[in-house]
Amino acid sequence: MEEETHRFHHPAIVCRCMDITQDEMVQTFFAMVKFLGSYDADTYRRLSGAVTGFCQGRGCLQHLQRILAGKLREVGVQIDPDKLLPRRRPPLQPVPMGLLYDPEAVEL
Amino acid sequence: MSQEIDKRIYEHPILKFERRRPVYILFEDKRIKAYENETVAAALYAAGVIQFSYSAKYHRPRGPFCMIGKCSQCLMRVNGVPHVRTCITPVEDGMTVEFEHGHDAELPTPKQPIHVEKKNIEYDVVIIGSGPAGLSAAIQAARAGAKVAVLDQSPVLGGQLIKQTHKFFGTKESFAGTRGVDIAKMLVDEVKDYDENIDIYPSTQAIGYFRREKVLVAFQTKSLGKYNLLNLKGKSYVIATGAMERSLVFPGNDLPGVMGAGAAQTLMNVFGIRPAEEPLIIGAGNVGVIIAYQAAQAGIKVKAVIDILPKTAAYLVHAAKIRRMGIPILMRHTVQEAYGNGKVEGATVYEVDDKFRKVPGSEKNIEIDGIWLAVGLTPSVEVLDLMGAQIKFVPELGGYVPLRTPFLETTVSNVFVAGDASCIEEASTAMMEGKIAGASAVLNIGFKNDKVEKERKNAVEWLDMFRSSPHYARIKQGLQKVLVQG
Ligand SMILES: Cc1cc2nc3c(=O)[nH]c(=O)nc-3n(C[C@H](O)[C@H](O)[C@H](O)COP(=O)(O)OP(=O)(O)OC[C@H]3O[C@@H](n4cnc5c(N)ncnc54)[C@H](O)[C@@H]3O)c2cc1C
Repeated sequence: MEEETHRFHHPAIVCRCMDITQDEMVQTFFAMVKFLGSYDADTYRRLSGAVTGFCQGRGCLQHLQRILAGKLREVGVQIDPDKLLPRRRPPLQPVPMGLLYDPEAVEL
Repeated sequence: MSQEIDKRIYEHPILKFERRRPVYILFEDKRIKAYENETVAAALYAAGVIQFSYSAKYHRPRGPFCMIGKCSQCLMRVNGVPHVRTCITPVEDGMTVEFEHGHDAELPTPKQPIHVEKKNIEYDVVIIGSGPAGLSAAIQAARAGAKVAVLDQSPVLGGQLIKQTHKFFGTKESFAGTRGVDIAKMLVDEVKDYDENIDIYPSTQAIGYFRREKVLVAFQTKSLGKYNLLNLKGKSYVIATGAMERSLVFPGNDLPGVMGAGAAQTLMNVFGIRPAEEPLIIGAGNVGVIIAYQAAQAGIKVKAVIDILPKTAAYLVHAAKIRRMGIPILMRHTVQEAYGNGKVEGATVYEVDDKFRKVPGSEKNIEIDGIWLAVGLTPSVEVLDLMGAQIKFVPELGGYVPLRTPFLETTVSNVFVAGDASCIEEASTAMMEGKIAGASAVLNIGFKNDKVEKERKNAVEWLDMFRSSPHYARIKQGLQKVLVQG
């Protein structure tokens, strides 16, 4: 069992793209409530950074939602899960910038 | 020369892997042998490379998770181009592949000029996804005489079917008794019969949608650095983008070697590569159990399949089969953490009681070299969301899914949904939904065809029949929540 105590413990990653741990997600929640008085999912997304990476939340949205809903339940706030869906913006996939650049485009 | 690692499978009871011309790629100055029909990620895995990048903030080693172009964990710098999804990028001779260091690659580094060809094309029906749903939709639409485009980000058509080597359940109409890989071939062949009507765009990712103009923006990678930028205008759309495997949050869950079970299945059954030698599978539902069986066929020794529930949700024949092979199924077990230096080397699992609390002292360390997560799928609805379809959270259907009419039209007129993107179910239902959506997509815009209309009616009846079994009560319940009248 000696080996056990010396073992290095890895963090539990919620959002792989932005490298955000479970602990950070929880801290961000408390910071948001304390300093902004907000329970808003979009604010939570912006503050934590989760769901804003390359894959646009395909992997971590479920976790963000679970953590937020769970914490809100603890403080007695009910939230409609439909409101937890973040806004999606193009481009949906990483693209080379040159791909969308059009030298002939005229500025309006 | 040091001994080369080769994780390729050369003998398999069911599959014959046809490897095309050998080529060489350069990975961090190491020459790696690959075959033309492999993707960069597959070739690296075959050579024993399981770390692809360092994470953005903590510089943790990372490796691929989904292997179907949905997550971000296989992004690498290829031929100088940063953020390339290596799991869907075919190898080319002489390609250089480098580790990616988190977000540092965001600095513009135009090592290679890019060539872009712009195309504006109009279609009757534009279909995203070439899985069973998308292909079935394409066949119906083409049958009615429509001009159809099918886009898929993968270089290969067939969606998830191309990795399913087991014989399907179901009825005759849903190809029961046929292997998924063979169903994929049949669908692809049928699509090819309509090559006058159907344009296929492999390696094409949908990236945006202009709502007012009803134009879908996508880009096709012809080869690295050479792209087609496509502005596709469809009179109607079928979105059949499938689903993404879920992850679990536990310490060490990002170590290279931790991946979706479907990702492992892709490596084993599509590319004939062993992703691990002694993995742990988390989740003893149908997917986990089937993949344990297929791993055994690939010569992989699954250490255990664990599941937190007291009873497996898998069909008993499947579960019994792997038990007979001596693969332990540990019910009421879950994972505490994964450990290892730079890659997964072991996991601590523990037992839970009726209330899912940890049974004290029940921790066990298992030495493994992979963790495969079979803990469910989430519908991929990003494109639908972008198009403006109303989305609702329905746990019974797998998460966020679009509202739809009985003919699968979403709340955006002439935009249809089918397959796993509408509800996590199976390939058989995906095909039926594809038929309905494909037929409706053409009938709605003025095409008339008795046969297609009849097929649609049959598919609707088949789905009703299929879902009336008590096994699907939950899904039926979920569907009630998203059904709107057209
Ligand atoms: C391990 C496993 C075992 C299974 N076993 C069975 C079984 O025994 N019987 C059964 O009936 N079903 C089974 N299924 C389920 C079945 O595979 C799926 O339900 C079915 O493949 C869903 O079909 P689909 O067409 O909706 O999606 P998919 O097959 O996932 O196809 C979606 C396609 O869309 C493409 N795509 C996604 N997003 C984009 C984008 N933005 N741009 C371009 N292309 C995109 C993807 O590349 C993909 O090719 C199994 C699934 C798994 C994972």
